[in-house]
Amino acid sequence: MTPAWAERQSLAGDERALVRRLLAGDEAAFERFSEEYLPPLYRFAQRRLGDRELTREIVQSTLCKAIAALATFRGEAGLGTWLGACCRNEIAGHFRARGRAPAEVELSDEVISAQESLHTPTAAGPEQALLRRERTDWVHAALDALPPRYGQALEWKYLACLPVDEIARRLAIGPKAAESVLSRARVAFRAEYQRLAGGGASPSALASAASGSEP
Amino acid sequence: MTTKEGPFLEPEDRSGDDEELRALLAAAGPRPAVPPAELAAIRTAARAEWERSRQRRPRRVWGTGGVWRPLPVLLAASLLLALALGWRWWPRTPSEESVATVTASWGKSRRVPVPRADSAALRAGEALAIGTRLTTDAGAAGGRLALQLASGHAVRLDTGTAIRLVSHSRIALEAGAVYVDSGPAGSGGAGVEIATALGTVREMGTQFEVRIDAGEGAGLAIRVREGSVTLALPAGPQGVAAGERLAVTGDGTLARGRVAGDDAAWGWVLEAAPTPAIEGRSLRWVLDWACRENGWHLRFADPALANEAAAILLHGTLEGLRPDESVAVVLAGAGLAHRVEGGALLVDRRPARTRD
Repeated sequence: MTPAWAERQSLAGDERALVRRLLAGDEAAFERFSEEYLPPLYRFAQRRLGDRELTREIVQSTLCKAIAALATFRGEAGLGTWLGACCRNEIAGHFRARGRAPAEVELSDEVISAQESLHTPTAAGPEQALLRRERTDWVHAALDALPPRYGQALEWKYLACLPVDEIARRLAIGPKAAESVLSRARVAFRAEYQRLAGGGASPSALASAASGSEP
Repeated sequence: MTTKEGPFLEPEDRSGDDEELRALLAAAGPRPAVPPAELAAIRTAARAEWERSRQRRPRRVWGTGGVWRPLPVLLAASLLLALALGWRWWPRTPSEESVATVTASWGKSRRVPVPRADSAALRAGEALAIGTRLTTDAGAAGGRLALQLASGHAVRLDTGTAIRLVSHSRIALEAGAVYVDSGPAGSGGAGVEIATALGTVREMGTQFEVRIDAGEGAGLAIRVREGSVTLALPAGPQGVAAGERLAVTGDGTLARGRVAGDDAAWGWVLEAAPTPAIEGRSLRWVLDWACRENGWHLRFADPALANEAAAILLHGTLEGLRPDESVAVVLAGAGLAHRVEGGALLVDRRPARTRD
């Protein structure tokens, strides 16, 4: 058994324990479930639906059905993945019932550029703006697809620039264990990001794309 | 060294990955937070289902691994009993109760909280208590404020204005001007009263402005954009309807006139309009908001276009744009044309291009 496999088994066991505590009516378990799984589920739905009210409606019905069916969760897939699958079913059911998908309009890049030019002498090109938004969506979706503490650890390290000791304290583990979590999180994030971005992108290409320059 | 099967297999590769990953995450920024109101609504629904599920499952009161539940139930029952008997478990000082929240601020504005003598600059999201006095600096570089009252009314302060929050539904206007909007469907509850030295203005589902005119012949001016207000004067009440203005001088002389909903006199109200979040909103919602702010009636070239506008969802932001500028942006993005004529915003399809 490798450390990576042991980590994965530990995460799966942790989620099964969380579900058992939810089923037992543990208040702290419900709080943790809400804090860790609700925001990624909301963003998952919002990326697909756009409309705020519809997103709330779908996420509410997803959670209610998932909670009612919690006893069927076996931990073979992650809890977030399981909730995402439930949400996909709700979305599909919604549009089947309505017989159509909504029209969506992105404020056009020309319009956004015009808006920005009201306030700044120079504005980024519209194509670059669109590419940046796409990659932002992929980064956020990849973070949300990870086990909650993986996504949190990456944001703490690379956005908040927290030292490993502080990350360890927040995760309630030792510094060596925190280093290990970060290492797994980087690997998992790369895999998920490459999957979302269409596969095959090298890390340098990912970073160059993020900065808007050619690799 | 080979590794066994498992989902997180790849050998660690630190050659430049750290900086590249940092650049990628920094460019994307943090994941957006769920709007608090949405989060609260979803949590409430999820909790209700969780509670129902718990009740459907057999509860273990005694036994190995079970948790004895009567104590929380007894505490909850005690609390309900106490509330029924009228006891107050958390005594609250009335003056600490929040009656308004700052929505947006421009330029310099201040709060003089009661009972402290120090004043503090205002920030969006700040809660304001009963008795708070607010002032905005006068002049071209002066300040403006937008507030949301606990009653749901939106209130805006022009430059050179001083008010005091007397209660949930009463504002004392000491100088300058306030604009009040009870919302498209009205506040649904008690109306707002604007108290001045010359009289008190009571609204009945409206958009209106009350202005104190300083200097010689000082008096009070009221303009109503929508709905109606009543001005309570010693000599008797005076009603002011939509499209009307009423001026009262210190000696009680009244003067009436007309003011259109899109008159230039409402310009400061547009400058002090908070920008709503439009991500995921329908085009129709944004047009309704913009028309309400500009004092326009919304008209579509045909009923089908009106239905389409309700089905088109917008992504992006209007931050930094006034309501009148926002209309051009959203309609251009949706591929529609518009013009403003006779106090109405007319929305039409773009004419098809013809080939030469």
